[in-house]
Amino acid sequence: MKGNLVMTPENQQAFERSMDMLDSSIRELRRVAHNMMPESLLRFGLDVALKDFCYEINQSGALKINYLSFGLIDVDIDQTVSIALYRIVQELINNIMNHSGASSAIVQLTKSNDQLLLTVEDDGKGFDPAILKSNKGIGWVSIQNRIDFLKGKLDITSKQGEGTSVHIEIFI
Amino acid sequence: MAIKVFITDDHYMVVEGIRSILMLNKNIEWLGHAMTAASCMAFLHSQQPDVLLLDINLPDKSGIDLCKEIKTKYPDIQILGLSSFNQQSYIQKMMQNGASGYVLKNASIEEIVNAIEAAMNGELFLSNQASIELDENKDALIPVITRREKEVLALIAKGMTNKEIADKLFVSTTTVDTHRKNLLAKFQVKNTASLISLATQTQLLHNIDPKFNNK
Repeated sequence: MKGNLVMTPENQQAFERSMDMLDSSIRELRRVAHNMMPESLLRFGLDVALKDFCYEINQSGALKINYLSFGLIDVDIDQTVSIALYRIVQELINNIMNHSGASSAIVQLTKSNDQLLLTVEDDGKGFDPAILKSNKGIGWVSIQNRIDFLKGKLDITSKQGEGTSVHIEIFI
Repeated sequence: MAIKVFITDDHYMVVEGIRSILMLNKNIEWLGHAMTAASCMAFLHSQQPDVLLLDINLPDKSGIDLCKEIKTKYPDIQILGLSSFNQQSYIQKMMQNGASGYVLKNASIEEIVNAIEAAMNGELFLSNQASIELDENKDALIPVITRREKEVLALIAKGMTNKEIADKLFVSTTTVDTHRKNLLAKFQVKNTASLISLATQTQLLHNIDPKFNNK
């Protein structure tokens, strides 16, 4: 590129800077698009998509997540359920990263018979789940809505200083 | 003898870019390109390359499926996955379906040439970045178990039945049973007795947080 064009050094610098900005915009766009609807969720299903999601968070270094799944090999989970659970995990992990101060977390998904069991757990500072009764943030409201929609059950176990465990049960 | 290379990718710029790079290398003979899975299969019917560069995303079929199909029909062809996705699942599926390697589209000239040569020699090759992605953590000596599973484990050790545990934890017996099954799977044991003995050995039973037990 440089060899074929006549450019002043300043222009060349501006050109390279523009290319850099373009590159980072493309990366940003990919990241946003990916968060909206991860392709791996449509293509390979919930198990793989969650694995990728946790893996990427691990790579970023923000939080160490152990992803575990049981009974999900070659199991087809309905897309509505998959998307809802994926969003819930995203929201819970966001909460963990933004509020808990945790250094590690577990995301575990199990299918046994007609039941899907999701556990998201962290070793952060914990909170009193009772405050959610009076003052739910938009994140918890959306989690609760998704669970209600799937007729599932939500159970939060947390105490100040002892981390948080969230259990979600859905019958499919 | 030159390595015969064929590429299947629906992006003309990618095909042209790789072609212009490989043409500089005397050890590589460029057989041509296909832009769809169908035209790739049609070409392979008449002529087979040594190494096939295969895009993960093709308009008429997933490259991952096509990879399997080609390896079944022409096991001698070495396939290198070609993609801009640096994601574990894609890389893994591609390798499971018989690919010899995986090259990212932002790879350097050397990487692509090295990958082709490695594939030709029957070696596995992953782009620098791709191999980092695959390097999973394997510290699984003591299984990772959740707090709820620890509670269940402690109650099992006390000799409680599923029903009793369910009542204590305010969950259904199905759920307790799921936890029990997961524990067996995590410790890789067949029955509860071995589970308790192994859990005691790894000291998981002593580390149970007492605060969580007294609900």
